[in-house]
Amino acid sequence: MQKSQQGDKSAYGQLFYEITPILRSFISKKINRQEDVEDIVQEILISVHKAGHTYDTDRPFKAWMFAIARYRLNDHLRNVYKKREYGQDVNFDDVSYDLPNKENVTERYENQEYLSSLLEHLPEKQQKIVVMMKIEGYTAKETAAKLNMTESAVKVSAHRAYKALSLIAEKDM
Amino acid sequence: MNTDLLISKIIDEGAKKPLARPHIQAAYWLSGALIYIFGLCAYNGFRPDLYEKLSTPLYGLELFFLGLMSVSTALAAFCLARPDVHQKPWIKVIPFVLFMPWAMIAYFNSSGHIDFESLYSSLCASKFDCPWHIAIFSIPPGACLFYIIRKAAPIQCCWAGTMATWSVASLAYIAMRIAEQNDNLAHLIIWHALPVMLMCMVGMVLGKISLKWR
Repeated sequence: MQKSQQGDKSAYGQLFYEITPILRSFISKKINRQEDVEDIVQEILISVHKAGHTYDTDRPFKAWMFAIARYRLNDHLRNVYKKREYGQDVNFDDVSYDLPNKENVTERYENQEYLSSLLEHLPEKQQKIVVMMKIEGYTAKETAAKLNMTESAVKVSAHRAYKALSLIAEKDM
Repeated sequence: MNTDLLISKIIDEGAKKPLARPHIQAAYWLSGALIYIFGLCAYNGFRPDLYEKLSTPLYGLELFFLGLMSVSTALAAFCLARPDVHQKPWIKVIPFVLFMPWAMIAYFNSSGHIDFESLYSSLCASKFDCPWHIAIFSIPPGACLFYIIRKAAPIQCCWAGTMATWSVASLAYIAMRIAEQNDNLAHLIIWHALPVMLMCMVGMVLGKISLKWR
């Protein structure tokens, strides 16, 4: 940005080509409709260009860019809710498209079965730690409190369990 | 339009020259506003007892805190004109911190009592020339400040409008204190402080309307 503010057009172009995928992934996480994502990304790019003179080269560029991105995203969402575009004319074909199909469900079930079979190879304590931390979503601190262990012991045990699991999985392949 | 095509159009236009830093912009604007306001004050005439008043510490402190408020709000307004102002959330708090000691100093520096009767009689005195003068002092530098902020990219437009109006109103308040020979507390509250507060509210609405970054 510093170079482009000094008139370097190639640096300016490189900057925009580099930020576009970052912005696209940022917006994709918040918006589902792909055509909306592209529209918002383009709006953000225009805004970044229009507000380029407000960027202070001593300050981080990403914080500045994401402030603009969030502003434009909120603007878009505000417009959507104002027009009440959400919830109108729901196309059930689109809805079913988002639902997991039969194959996915069985695939997921098979994965779960495979994971439980792998876990059976581990000692009971390590099994409990992996289930609590990776499936039930407990933190290391919470797991330690529940199992009457120290936090570092839980972390070491979990690390050993993951290593053992990856070795067993490699052998199976 | 294709994103790549848009980018190539943007590249053709090129980057704009960067704005001056907020403190530099604030310094330039404050100098211009001070020249206008004190020029107008000098043209209309200062209060006759200004030299005596300036020798009293409370009066000097009151003006000093008003000046600090004006500087801090101007700086806040220029910072709020930038999208990444969220990195400086404290900038909006400083004027409120300065407001408290100023209010106390202004209270002890004024004469008269504050009760319903004095407020009512002050209201009945219909001193509309005070808010009118505050408006004359404020509008040209305020319009200029709004224009400069609008040229940037204010994401928090209401805050930017409020701070801009507060800054210019503080300067106008200073001008009124050095021009008008009236230290009556009820008069100062009804015909100086309340119009200034009202101006800040109007500034917030104006900010929402005119400073919204599109």
